[in-house]
Amino acid sequence: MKRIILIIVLFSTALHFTNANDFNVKPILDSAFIAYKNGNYQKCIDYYKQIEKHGLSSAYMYYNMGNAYFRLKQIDNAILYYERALLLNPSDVDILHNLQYANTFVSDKINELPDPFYVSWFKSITNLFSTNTWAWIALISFILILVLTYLNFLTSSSWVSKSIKTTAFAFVFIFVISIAAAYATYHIQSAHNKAIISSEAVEVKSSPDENGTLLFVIHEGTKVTITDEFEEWAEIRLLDGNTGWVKQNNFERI
Amino acid sequence: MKYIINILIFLIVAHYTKAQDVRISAQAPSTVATGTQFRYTVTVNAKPSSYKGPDFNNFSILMGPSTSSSSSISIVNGQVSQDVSYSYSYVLSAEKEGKFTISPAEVIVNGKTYKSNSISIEVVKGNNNASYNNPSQRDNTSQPSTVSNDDVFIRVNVNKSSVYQGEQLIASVYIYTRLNIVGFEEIKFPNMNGFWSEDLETPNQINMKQEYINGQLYGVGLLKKVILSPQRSGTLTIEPVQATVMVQQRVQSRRRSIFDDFFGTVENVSKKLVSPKISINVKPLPENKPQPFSGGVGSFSLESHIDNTSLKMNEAFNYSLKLSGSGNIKLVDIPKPNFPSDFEVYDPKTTNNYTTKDGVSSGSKTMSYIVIPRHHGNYTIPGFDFNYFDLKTKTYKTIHIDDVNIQVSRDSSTNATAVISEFAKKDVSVLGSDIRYIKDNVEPLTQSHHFIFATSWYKWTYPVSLILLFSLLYLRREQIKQRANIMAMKNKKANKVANKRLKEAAKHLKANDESKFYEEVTKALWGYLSDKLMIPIAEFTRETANDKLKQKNIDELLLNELNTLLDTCEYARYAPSAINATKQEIFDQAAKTIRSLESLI
Repeated sequence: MKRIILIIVLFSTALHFTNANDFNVKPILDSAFIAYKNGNYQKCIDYYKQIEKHGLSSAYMYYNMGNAYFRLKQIDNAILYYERALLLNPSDVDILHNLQYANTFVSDKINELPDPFYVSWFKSITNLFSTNTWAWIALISFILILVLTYLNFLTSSSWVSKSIKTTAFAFVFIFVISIAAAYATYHIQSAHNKAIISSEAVEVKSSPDENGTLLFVIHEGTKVTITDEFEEWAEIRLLDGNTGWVKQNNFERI
Repeated sequence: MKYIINILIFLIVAHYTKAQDVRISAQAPSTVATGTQFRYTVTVNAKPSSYKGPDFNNFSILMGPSTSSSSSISIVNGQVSQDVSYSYSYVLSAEKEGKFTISPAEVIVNGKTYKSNSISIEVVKGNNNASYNNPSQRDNTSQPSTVSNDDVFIRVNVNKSSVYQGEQLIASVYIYTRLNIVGFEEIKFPNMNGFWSEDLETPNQINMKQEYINGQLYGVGLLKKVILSPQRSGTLTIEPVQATVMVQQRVQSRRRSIFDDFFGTVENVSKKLVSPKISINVKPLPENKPQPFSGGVGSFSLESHIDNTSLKMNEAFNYSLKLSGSGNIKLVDIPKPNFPSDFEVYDPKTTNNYTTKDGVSSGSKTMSYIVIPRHHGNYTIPGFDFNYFDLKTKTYKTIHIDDVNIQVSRDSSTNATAVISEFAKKDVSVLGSDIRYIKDNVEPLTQSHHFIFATSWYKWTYPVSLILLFSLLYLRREQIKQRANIMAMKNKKANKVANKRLKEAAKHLKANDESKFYEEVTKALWGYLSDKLMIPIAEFTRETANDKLKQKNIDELLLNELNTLLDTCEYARYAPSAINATKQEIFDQAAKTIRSLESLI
């Protein structure tokens, strides 16, 4: 009973936390949508930026911003916002479609290294829900496991005990997957180590130094992973595995 | 005899020729140098009865007139024709510079007087090596040992040096020479960078014409003529034409013989020629370019034509667009009409008809589409604008092609459905791709980068709930343990308690308080069993007690004894008079039962 009260308290504080910052966004969202409809893409972006400034976001808000940037032919920004949308909702087909389409306008054709099959399986599972949903699933299944364990202790009937044990094992399975998925997606999102190249053409050097050997040149819209930082330089890795150093002002983190 | 017949035939033929027109013409070069010999010839195509030569006031007659005649008879399809030609030629030489006219010559043929054309001749100051093709006449002493750039050179002439982008101009490559050219080793025409170019003529044989440049007589030959259309604005350069020619040059021999003066000693010298660069100023087309711009510069007209606007489905019709005019027509694209996507459109047939006149391409270009509507209904082939830059008015002009409405009716023939099904069942064709539309509802908005996974309360919930579970389990276990302890204690004390109760009962027995006595005995028995068997009083019934005792292998006899004793006590409590046994007996029996149970359990 105490635990149930605790859960309710925690839930309500979490909900309260989001509602506290919920200033009146509805009219801004509406005017952004109308601006897009009328072709004022820059205005549409400005409206959404206002909301973004308040620290609020959603997958579809980023998706709409990506669309507006795409219409303004700012492919790098479009891809940036599609990627941001995808982080919040990794399995949405519309976001995936638009990101894929925008990527056809990127001049660098980089062959992505394929993931091993177990990684792609795990990714397809983690992409089912957002990080917070996974976290809730993990927490609830954990508490259910505890409750079931206690019930199992109380009962003396053997068949009740057997069914409780089976259910508990199922929840252990769910808990392990969901906590792993929550951790993985949280790690990906909080690492902030993915970026989109925002400069038209960037020279990638072998060392964090202007005099470093020029390794290759990448162009705007290309997705990179930041693996290291040194002063104003950052070490990047392309999807095909090539690495090199670029100036930090050449990309925008997702 | 034969001879006479021949003469007769000749006379008859000659008779016919009298009916012909008499033509007389005089020929002489248009420019000559002083001191140079040249030929003046008068030609008549009939036998003149008299000839009167012109006055050669400013020229001296070196020789002439010398007369020559030629005749030819041809019989074609029984028609006999005879060509006769009489010519009077003079060799003249000019002494003074200037422009002079040689008056016409006169002939009388059949009593009629015919006059030739008069000829004007420009006489320029000649140097002694005036004739480019007669090096033997050149002065030996002034003979240069090498071929100078003045002797042979190449020049590129353009008809316009300032044009609009896309406007056409003509570039002609000429070779100028004062020497005898034996042959060309190599001619390299440059790439016309920035221009679209098309060869107009490239003569296989170079015809030399005479021309005076800076008082010098040159032989001039056309090497190439191209039509150019600049593709970008700014200053474009026509790169030099490079050529290597073999010229014949007289050389000075060491041993001068008398024959040298007459025949000369010539040798072939190869000479590399480079033409000067030419800059063309290309003006950009004015701003406010209408969209879409076809790229046409010149004057054009565009017409559309459709052969049938009311037809049955699966019936083909022809839609053609004809662009005609002058300018860079070859470079102009006729826009493709936007046919309804249900129409089957075949690749257009293009017919071109170009000519070049006065340095401007003109002609027409026709695009003919064969279109088959596959579905019935009313369709519109949308019209469009064709924009071009008009060179005459220096403005953009627009030709509008109107919409065409087409009615396609259902095919009523019997096999229509079969045809429809064949074409109707096709995949939805992808006509274009684009991003998907934005979402109307973007809510719920959440705090960016707010992960409950990372919050401390989330992390603490796990250990806290785990501790909670363990402490609950611990409490539960303690409780059970405690209860077990109480039971054990009760078990130990069971006999004592029972004895105490029995002593109490004995007290009541002495006091002869029957109901109290039976109550105490029952209590002693029940309490003993309850404590001894560790059954809480609340759960204690006769059945549970019996079950437990049976489990403890108590024999049936003792059990029956116990049960009858309990029955008797209970019975006696409510109806004491119905009891046969004395109180002392019951008391003894209870004490005995407890004792025997004590020994067994």
